[in-house]
Amino acid sequence: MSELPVPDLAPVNRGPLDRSLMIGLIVLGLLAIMPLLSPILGGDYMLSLVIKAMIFAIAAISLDLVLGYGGMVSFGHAVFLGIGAYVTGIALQEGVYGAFPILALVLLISGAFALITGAISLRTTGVYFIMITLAFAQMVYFSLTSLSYYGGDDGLTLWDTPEVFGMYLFQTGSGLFYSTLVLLALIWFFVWRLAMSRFGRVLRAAKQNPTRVGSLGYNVFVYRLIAYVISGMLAGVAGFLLACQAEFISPSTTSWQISGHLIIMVVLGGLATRNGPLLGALFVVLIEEILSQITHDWRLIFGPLLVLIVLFSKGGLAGLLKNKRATG
Amino acid sequence: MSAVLTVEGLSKSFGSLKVTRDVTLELHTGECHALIGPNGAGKTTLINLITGILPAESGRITLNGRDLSDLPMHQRAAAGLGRTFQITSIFPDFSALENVALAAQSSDGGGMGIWRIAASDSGLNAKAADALDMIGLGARKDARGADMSHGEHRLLELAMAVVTNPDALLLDEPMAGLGRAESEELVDTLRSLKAQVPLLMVEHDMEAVFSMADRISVLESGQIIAAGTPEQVRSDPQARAAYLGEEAV
Repeated sequence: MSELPVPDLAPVNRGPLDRSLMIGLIVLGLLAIMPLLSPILGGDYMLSLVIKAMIFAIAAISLDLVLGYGGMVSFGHAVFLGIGAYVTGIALQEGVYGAFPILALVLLISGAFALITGAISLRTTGVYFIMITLAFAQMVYFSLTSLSYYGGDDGLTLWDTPEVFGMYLFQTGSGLFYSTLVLLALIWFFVWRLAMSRFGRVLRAAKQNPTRVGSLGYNVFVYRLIAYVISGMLAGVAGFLLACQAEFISPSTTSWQISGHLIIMVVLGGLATRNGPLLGALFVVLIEEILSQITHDWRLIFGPLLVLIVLFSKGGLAGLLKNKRATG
Repeated sequence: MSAVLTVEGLSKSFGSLKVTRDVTLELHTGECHALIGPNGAGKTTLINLITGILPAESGRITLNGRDLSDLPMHQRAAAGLGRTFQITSIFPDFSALENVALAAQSSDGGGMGIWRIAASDSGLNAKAADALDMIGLGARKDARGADMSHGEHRLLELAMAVVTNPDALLLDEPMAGLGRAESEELVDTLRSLKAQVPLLMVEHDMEAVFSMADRISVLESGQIIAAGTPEQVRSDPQARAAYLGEEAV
């Protein structure tokens, strides 16, 4: 885990981070005007693609808290997307339509799942942590495929979306777009503040040298567990949005391919950087779409592209942006 | 003089090898107590037992009358037991200031704040900067850990230990790898430091030990075979046979 690229976090509150704040705000600002541009760029299809990218950005940002700042390679993070989606779908199916009660349930259940599985997984490190988080995700995956009352293997189509005081804010279209964007902006800002706080400082230190952090009087296990639970809850929110957007829930959301995808987004964007997971998720979702329109064998292009970015940019896409600005 | 830290009847084995045998020692206010002995005598093991990195099989450790024997490492540290490591153990991606500030926040508010930016906490930064100044690293506070020299790492370790205001400080070979001039400076720093916090020090540099220690315990095969003032230890035949040889006479 220690050979993952490490960002320069030394001068925390001065220039470079103000720049990262600006870049993040520009990206969010560009996203905000997408619905206005969508008639030129491909209409509702484009809009729904951008919503999907933003939802994955939320999941990637939440993963970065444990993977980037905490140095814990969770290879089962899609499980929280799945839990968020299934809690939402099942609640709607059972007649709970309020977005706030549903979101509260999503936070509660994904948080509880993270607490229990985290308490077990975090007793291990390194490869064992990777395998055990994967194992938990696979357990949930197979449980969901046998959940025949809610569609089992085939998934479940949702006929309603959650409402807020009678408004269907999470229905496909600009309502869902701006709800997602607001949640993305809040989570983007919150995770960065968390990572730069006293709590985050301990978490980042434990990535570098856990024994030393313990000898300073911190209980590393507790810090990692809290980060894991927060991360799981935030990824659960992404799952909620995913269910709203797809109007469909399926066990495949929790598959290890999706977990792997999330890791690619974070690493490609830049581990433990303010904008890395945001840029990474937008880039991966959009480039996949564009490439798959050009050729059926788009993975032949996508694979080498990933390798090139990881090889030649220190700190991923976020690092690329930073370097360019710094020298130019 | 009152005992700040007491160790009574501490024992530990790795398999059939007894690495610590019934060790009893005291650390008093205002003193520097050196622990010496040949390689493999169990000095670092003893430090690890006291700080709780390793579990002891029997024995009691008390700090200011409080029994620490059953506490895990992080609670012993929180109770006021500071230490430095033989092998440099700092945070390479943090600046010197952030290394020390991380240590400072453990005894000043803890690590559970989740909203305020830690690096702009002026109280913590001031404390950390003071500790760095005191140890003589003030000018390097913005340097990244990974970019500092070995000697600077040793000093940084010390600043990280001092900033928490520990009741007792355990130093594992603070001079290891330092040049002669650096060693002499560190001896001066430690001499003034012991007035604030008693030091229990494992050290191979005999010149440093005999010039600054108030008391010395000699460890051999996990056992204390001699203890006393530098003069007493220097003339103790067992201690000389075990470790000092002829050169230190």
